[in-house]
Amino acid sequence: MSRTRKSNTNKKPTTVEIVLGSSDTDTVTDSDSDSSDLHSPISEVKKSSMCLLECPPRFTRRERSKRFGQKEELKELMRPHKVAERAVSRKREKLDSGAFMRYFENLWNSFSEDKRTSFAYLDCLWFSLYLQQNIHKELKRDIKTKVLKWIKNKCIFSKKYVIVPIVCWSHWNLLILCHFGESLQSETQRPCMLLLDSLQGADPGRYEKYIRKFVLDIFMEEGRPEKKDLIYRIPLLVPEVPQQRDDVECGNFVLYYINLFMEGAPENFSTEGYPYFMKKDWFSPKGLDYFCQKLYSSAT
Amino acid sequence: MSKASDQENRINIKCQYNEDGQRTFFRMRRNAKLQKLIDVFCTKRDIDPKAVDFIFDGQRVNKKKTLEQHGIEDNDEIEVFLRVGGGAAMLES
Repeated sequence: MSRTRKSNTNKKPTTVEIVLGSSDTDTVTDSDSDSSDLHSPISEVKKSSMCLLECPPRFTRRERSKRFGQKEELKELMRPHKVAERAVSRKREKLDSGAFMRYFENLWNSFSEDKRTSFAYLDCLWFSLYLQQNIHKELKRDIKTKVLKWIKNKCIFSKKYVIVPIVCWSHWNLLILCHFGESLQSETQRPCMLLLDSLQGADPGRYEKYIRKFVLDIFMEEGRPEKKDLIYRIPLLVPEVPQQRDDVECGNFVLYYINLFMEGAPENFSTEGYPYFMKKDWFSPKGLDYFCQKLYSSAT
Repeated sequence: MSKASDQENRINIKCQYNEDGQRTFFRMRRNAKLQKLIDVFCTKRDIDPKAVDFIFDGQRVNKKKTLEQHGIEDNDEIEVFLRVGGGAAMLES
């Protein structure tokens, strides 16, 4: 802002007041030359500030003057700063289950039919519904039965990979079930589970107890012959993946993990090649930002 | 449309809100859009439509589709869940 203010003072003292957000706009509204002067500092702000680059004005100049008249036009001119702030914060917002699934479905549909046949996904609400504790016992049992029935409909035992986004304790992470249709004692394609967490400092291990219970119930519901202790011994792997930088973007990380996993998942996931691509330097923050931008624009 | 066939065209639907387990009953035309049901439900129960997810038989409902297109039939039930969000872990057990 200091740059803008400087350039303003060179031209006219009145423009300084406007940029500072003063309500005293009457002095400059009447002549054309004044308003054209007003445009230059704003465009300078745009060029100099990164956050403003992403936010084009909502209306062209002509539309603005049509809509609001000249006095209003000045207010409109002062607005881009605020709008831009909002645009950035929208991107940095926490994702809720509704927005997450909307983005996810777009992502899912962007993959080829061929690719999708070896994958299945569960709705992100299901795991948390399965876990929910602060409701009436009967209702809880009712919901649990329903969730297990919905999962059964997904035929996850015929898929190579099952994507299970989890949102629990205000945090997103991603569970992937691998080769669940294979025998638990198979040498080559043993079932295993992957837990990708963008906040490993928060101890992803606390999910294990619940995930195991969840998986056991899925096996039971399906009427699989596997024994309980074998199911409890399915390896749960937690690879070291790139970590989030602030306290809101774990939902975006989960979406990006899904995208990259679907792109690069091996034919046969075994402990031999593990962790494959899921390493600390799997992707760069830039890659994530680009991905999110694409995702947001696809959903509007 | 005669009165009789109009009646035939209407179906009963239940909406269960997961937070309190209460059911709300609707009688709607098969070709009514889900949006209508969502609006009425949210007004009646005083809920922000953006705060809840509507799920029918494991599928998220598309509010632009009609009941018929969704395969919703007489006496079917739609579940309403509060949306869950997350950014970072809050350490609690």
